[in-house]
Amino acid sequence: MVKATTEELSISIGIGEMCVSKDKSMVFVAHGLGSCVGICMCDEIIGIGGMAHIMLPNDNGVETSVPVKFADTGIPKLMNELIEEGAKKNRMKVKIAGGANMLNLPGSSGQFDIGSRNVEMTKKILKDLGLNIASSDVGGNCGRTVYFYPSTGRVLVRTIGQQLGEI
Amino acid sequence: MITFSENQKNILGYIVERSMDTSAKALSEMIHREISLESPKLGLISLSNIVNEMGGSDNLVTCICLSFKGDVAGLVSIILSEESAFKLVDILLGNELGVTSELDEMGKSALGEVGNIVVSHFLRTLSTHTWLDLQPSVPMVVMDMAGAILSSLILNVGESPEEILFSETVFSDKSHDIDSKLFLFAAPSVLKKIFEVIEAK
Repeated sequence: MVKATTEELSISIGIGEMCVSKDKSMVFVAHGLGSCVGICMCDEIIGIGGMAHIMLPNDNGVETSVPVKFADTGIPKLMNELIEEGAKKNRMKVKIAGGANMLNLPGSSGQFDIGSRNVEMTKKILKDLGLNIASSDVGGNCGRTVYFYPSTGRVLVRTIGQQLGEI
Repeated sequence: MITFSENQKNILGYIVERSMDTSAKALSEMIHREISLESPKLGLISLSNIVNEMGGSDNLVTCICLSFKGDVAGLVSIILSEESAFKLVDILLGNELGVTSELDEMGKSALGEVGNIVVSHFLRTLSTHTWLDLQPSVPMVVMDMAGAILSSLILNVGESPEEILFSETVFSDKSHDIDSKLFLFAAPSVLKKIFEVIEAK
């Protein structure tokens, strides 16, 4: 995991990665999210936030070396990391984006809509952790690039052919 | 990591070339205009490098995709830049170049037909050389961010692919070249099996 303390302006958060920062000049970017979900958490009071980029709903113990790849293991890891850095759970603001159904491949069954399953699991895990979702931009069938300002909790979402929007 | 020998690569190159030739004939007949198809480069690319090959995660690309099943399963997709996709649609529909500036249903269906022709010829030729039963699905066409499409393709393969077989594919009519890339996504075990059997036959 990367902890940003330098003056770099943006860090790209790839699949299975997460990052936490207090740096006011920092922006985390998850480029081209399809069925993956970007989870952004921020404690505005102390100005710290983190982002996780998950790809699948659950771990099933297959690939524990990359816990952040999965909603069920990645989300608690992000929350705990923030709490360790001084964030308070009851002040945590959570925003999520992604979980699109990009491909409607003939022959693959509808239950294989991994985007919806990722979103469902993300919501369930957040609920189990006692965290509310402040805002979200999920589902649909378009890819998203998500910009997250960890110190303020601001989240911008870009989709192809649309204006940059804040959630 | 999956690799192929010089011999396996040569056989694959031959299979790709043969299928491009027959695809070009079929395409030319369909649009009553001569189209040629070439594959100047064939190789294997790792999962981590493939997004760069597509111009970065949030680069806009057009993906024509067919899945296949039978003895083994996987996906074949043809990826084009936005500009190339529009050019190809213009050529297919007999337009002046530059007429197409967005991908409507007609354009999608024209590209889908290209996918049908090229991918089914490729799979049929591969099938002849491997004795593997490979049945293609109908095509799907999507235009979006490369990373978003790619991660979804990979998830559809099930067992995560490690290396992806790719072939640069150039469509040309007499005056224009259109670059694209054809990718074969399959589980590592499937790719290994294909490489083994092409040599065995």
